[in-house]
This record gives sequence, structure tokens and C-alpha cells, in this order.
Amino acid sequence: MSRTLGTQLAASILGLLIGTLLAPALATAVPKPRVILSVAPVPTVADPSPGTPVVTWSTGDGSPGLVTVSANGGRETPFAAEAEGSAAAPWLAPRQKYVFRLYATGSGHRLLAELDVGHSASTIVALPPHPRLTPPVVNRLLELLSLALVPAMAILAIMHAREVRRDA
Amino acid sequence: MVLAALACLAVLVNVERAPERPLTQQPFPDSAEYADAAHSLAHGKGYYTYVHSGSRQPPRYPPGYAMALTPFASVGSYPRDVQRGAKFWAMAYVVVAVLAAWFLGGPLAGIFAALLIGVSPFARDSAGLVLSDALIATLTVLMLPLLQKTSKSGTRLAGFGNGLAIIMRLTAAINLIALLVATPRRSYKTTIAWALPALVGLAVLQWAMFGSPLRTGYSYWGVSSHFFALSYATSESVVKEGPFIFADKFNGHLLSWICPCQVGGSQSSLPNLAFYPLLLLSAFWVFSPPLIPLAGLLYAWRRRRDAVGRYTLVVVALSLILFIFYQYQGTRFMAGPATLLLVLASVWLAKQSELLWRRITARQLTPEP
Repeated sequence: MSRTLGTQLAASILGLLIGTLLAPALATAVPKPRVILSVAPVPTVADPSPGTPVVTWSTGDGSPGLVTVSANGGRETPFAAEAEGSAAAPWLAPRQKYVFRLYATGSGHRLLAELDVGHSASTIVALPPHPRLTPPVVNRLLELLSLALVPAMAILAIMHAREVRRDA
Repeated sequence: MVLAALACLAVLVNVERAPERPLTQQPFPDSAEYADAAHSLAHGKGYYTYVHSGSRQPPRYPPGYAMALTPFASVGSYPRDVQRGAKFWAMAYVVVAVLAAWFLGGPLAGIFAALLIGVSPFARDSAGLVLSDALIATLTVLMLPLLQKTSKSGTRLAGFGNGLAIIMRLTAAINLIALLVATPRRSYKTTIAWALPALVGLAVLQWAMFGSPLRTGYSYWGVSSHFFALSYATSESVVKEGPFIFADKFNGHLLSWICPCQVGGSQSSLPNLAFYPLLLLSAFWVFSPPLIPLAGLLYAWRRRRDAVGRYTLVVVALSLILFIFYQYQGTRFMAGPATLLLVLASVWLAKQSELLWRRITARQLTPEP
């Protein structure tokens, strides 16, 4: 039963494929990277020794990656730092809550995937959502404000200088 | 006065002639996002960037610096136009720091400030990078002359400038707090009223882009958790920039005794708790020569009841407190407080020089018994 659960878990985790990380709002021709973060087998209370748990990951596009793990809500510690690979995690224990996170480190420090290995062994994937697009009027306003910033500062500075000179 | 202007001009020429690093060799995603977002803003495409796989995405940083680059992105060819803008702001850093010293301590203080900035790598390095640090430091230092000679327009400018600094980097809220601590209570309303439009604008933009005024580009990109923790003060696990953006002129040799070090030498091998105080004392020569800031600190402490001294001390203290517990360690985060100390050190040096000169001339004029 527990082995079935473990297998199901492994299957569901292995099925953790993130389609579009930076899903373009407009450009649909951008290739979709295939992100993988999985752990299998996962020890459970009923089956504490199903074999050595192995963490498998891939940033999907060959970019540098970092896998971290935090146990029971503690601080994240680095687990592995490669674009893709597998590494054993023999210390995974039942009744403990582990969260693995996969970051892309080539393009800043960006969360690609999150894996919750707990009692329920739920899986969460954190993705940058599709961006909301601001309306053209807002874009135009931003452009005008940007152009007005420096003159506004200059006018205030001149007014200050004149005021100080007048008081002196 | 002419000498001070010439010294400032010489430093400006030096900064202007600094080579511009190709965008692809600048810190990613910071520089790429700033430059590309400025380009987008200038062409009416909103605050977005296309540097991530060519798809339209919101940048993770607040829009202030990209907005400051926008006038430059409107003319010329990309990315050279934006890089010229970044260089312009690095030059503004020199001008404002020298003028601040001049206002506080006369032309001699201006000369000292120009010399100290000229012999330090920060301004020149900033001129080649599309990063917001020099401009934020400029806005931090701009407060000094405004605090020295107060006026209604000065208070408005201080509020406006602080609002801009915050929409460039949220941690610049430190400056606004310091300003409120340093100024009399009657100025609060004007200062806050002039800082508020930028902050409200940022909130509205974030609402439009992320669905909530409190959600930022950091939360969109999933990097907003674990920014601050007590353990980062001593932890080795903080992400360190080391000397790879702003390098120590001595290559970390003053602190080489702490090695064996990580890649990057001593500038990337210290915990936050030791790194930031040592950086502010210029153990790493980035903003000013070693120990010079001590003179600035001394000057600020002696004038801690004055607005200028109090503002400087609060900015320095809050910057240390904030960044010691921050997940990322960067030399550039101290640009504001370090430049404040440089300016006050210049004023102190000028006053000491004048005192010495007066003593020498008085001794020469006193007839021998």
C-alpha cells in the first residue's frame, strides 16, 4: 500500500513538468523549457526504507540551477548546484517535512519549482504567472512622467537656490 | 573657488572617459532589465522588459531608475543611449557630492571632495554600468545642502528626491526616515506630501501590474521570501557580490590576513556583520581612501544635534542595521552612507586645514619677544 503510495507519489512528482516559465504574453513562438524537480522514492511511516531517495532536477534549458532544501520550516540550505542532475538524499526521514526548491541562477535568482515532501507529499509548483499588461494610457503616462522627472527636480533646485539667496 | 571648479571638472572628465562595459558583461538581470525597461518606457511600451527569453515580463526592480534613464533612451540607438544616461547620472553623483561639500565647508571642502572621489573607483566604475547605486547615492547626498540651508522649496525638493529614491530602491526609505528624524516637526507635512506622489504612483503601478499595491516585481519572480533574517549577520550562506561589480582599489590586500578566502578574496569572504562596518571605514577602497570616513563620522558625531550630523548618523546606522540582516551582500549597497561620510570628511579636512593655516599665519604675524 505504502509502496503504491510511494510509486504514485514518485509518478506524480516526476510528472511535475512546468510548461512555460516565462510564458510570453505575446510571443508564442518562444520554446517552452521543461523544468523537472522530483524525489523518489519517499520514505513513509508505513515504509520507512523504500530505498535511497533520489532528487532529480532540471532547469529545462541548460541554464545554471540551484536546488535548496529546508527541513521542517527551517532555513534553506543548498543541496545541489547544476543545470540538471540527480543526487541521493538518504537523510530523508518519515514524519519530517521537507521543501525542495529549484532556482535558476543564470537569470538572477528565480524560483522555478517547489516541491513539498511532507506527510501528504503534496507538490506545488511556483511559476511566474502571465504578466498583466498595463493599458496604453498608463504606458503613455509613465513615459511622460519619466521625461518630466529631471526638469521637475531642476526647477525645485533652482527655486531652493533663489530662496536661500534671497534669505541671505 | 576656481580651483574647486577645476578639480570637479577634472574628475568629471575622468568619469566621462570611463569605458562603458557591454551590457552583456554587466550584472544580470539588473543592468539588462534597467536598460531594456528604460527603452520600453521611452517608446510607450510600459514598464516591461524583454530580456528574459524575449518575452514581455515586468522587471523585478521598482521603476525609478529606469524612469531616470528614459529621457536618454528616447534619443540615439539602444543600448548606447541608455549607457550614456547611466554615465550622466554617475557624473551627477560627482557634481552633487562636490557641491554638497562646498555648501557645507566652502570651496576647500569641495576640492577635498573632488580629490577623494577622483582617487576612488566608485564614480568611474559606475559610469560604465547601468546600475542605480550612483543615482541613489546622489539623492542621499543631495539632502546635505538642503538640510544645511532650509527653505520651503528645499523641503519640497528633499521630499520629492526621497520619493524618487524609494521608487528606485525600496530600502532607500531609510533616507526618508533619517530626513524626518533630522528635520523639525513643522517640515514633516511638506516632506511627506512631496514624497507621497512617487510612492502612490508606485503602488498604483504595482496594482496594475501585479494585482496588488503591495506586490512587487520580486514577488512576481518568486524571490521575495527570506530577504531578511537574523542569521544572515554571521552566516556564510548569504549571496556575495564580492569585488565583481565594484572592486577594492587594493584588491582586498588590507584584509588579506583573514584569508584563505573564497574566490574574490577578502571582499567576498566576510560575514555581513564584519563586512559592512569595515566597508564603511573604507577597509575596502571603493568609495573613499581607507580611514577617511572616520573623519566624516567624527564630524557627524560632533554635530549630531544639527540636522546634517543627525541625518548622516541615522542613514549610516539604519543602513548598517538593514543590510547586516539582508540575504545579499553588496559593496554598492553602502554607496549612500559612504558618500555622506566622504562629504563630511571633506568638510572636516577643510576646516582642519583652515585652522592650521590660521595658526601658522598667526604665529608668523606675532612679533618675537
